[in-house]
Amino acid sequence: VSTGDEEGSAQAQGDAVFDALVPRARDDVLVRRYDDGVVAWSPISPRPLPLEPLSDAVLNLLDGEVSAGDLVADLAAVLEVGDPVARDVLRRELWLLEDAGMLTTSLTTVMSDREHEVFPAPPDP
Amino acid sequence: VRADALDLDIAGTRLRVICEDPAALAALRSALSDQLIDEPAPVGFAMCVPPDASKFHVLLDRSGLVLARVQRSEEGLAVLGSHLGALLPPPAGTVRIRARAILPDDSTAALVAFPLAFRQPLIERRLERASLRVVDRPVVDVGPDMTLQMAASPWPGLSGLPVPAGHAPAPVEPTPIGVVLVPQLKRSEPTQSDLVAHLAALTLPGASHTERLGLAEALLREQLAVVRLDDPAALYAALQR
Repeated sequence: VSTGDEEGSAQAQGDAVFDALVPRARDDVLVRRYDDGVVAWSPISPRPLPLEPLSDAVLNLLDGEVSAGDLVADLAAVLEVGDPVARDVLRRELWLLEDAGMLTTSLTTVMSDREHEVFPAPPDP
Repeated sequence: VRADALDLDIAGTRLRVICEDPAALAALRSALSDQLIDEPAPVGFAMCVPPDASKFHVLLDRSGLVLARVQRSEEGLAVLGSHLGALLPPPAGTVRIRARAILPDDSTAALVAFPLAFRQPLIERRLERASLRVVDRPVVDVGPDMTLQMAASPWPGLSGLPVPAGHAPAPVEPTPIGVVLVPQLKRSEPTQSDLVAHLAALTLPGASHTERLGLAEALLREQLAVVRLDDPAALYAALQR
């Protein structure tokens, strides 16, 4: 079995675990809406976070009932991208929201190791 | 010049003041006798004497920012005494924000949000030329009616000293905020949500998140100027407008 096959298999397993995740936003996040954007502030964060529209949309969807897999499918349809890209986008959004203290649980145990690479982007050709 | 120091505990914050002037150190020791402690504390401020009579006494904070350049050591002590007052709790009902207050006159104040006026020292001569005075506090306490509501420093031995030109102690009367200066943090014009988040992040714990966001929103309803960080002259120009 080639190294590439092993990596692909590990990635598929990681994606399956991620898709089963049911993330939930804290219900006590203070959210203020303005004409040009949204600011959200978790009670456990020292500072508020200006949210991009996509982050705002994701935060609103994290009701503890919708799985990450469902969200991946929704994002793929809305953004008109494939599931792998949508999954990466969702991972990054969840990391951002978790870092700002807006989720009820940590995602660390279900996130792919790829998120921790020093150079996560592929090298320029 | 031999530097000596004293260690203080002010409302639970321990800090060391380094002072090269023995007479000023003695005055400081006397004025702050109730705050003196024996254990070494982290450096908070340093007061340096001029190498010759033609130069200035310089007061620095722990970051190395020049807080004052003054002719006489008593003036430096007055500025220091005012800065130490920032370690005391804010008056009830106010929200404390990391900013400098600048007084164009006795009736209004300009609020200069961090990191403006924190990265480069304010120059007394430029302030004087523009008829401005900087309040010697690294924080500003703002009441719900958008006035400065700051408590005077409680050390008569320091607050009774002559205040140097271009400087002012914390105003004890409520003073309306006439203009708010915010830093340009991005190349593009900041959005309202960017500015609310930035200003709210500058507020200090002690008030609720709702109150802190409320202050940020209210400040943005005042006359607003976005000032470039890399151009020291822009700050003075905005203050004079």
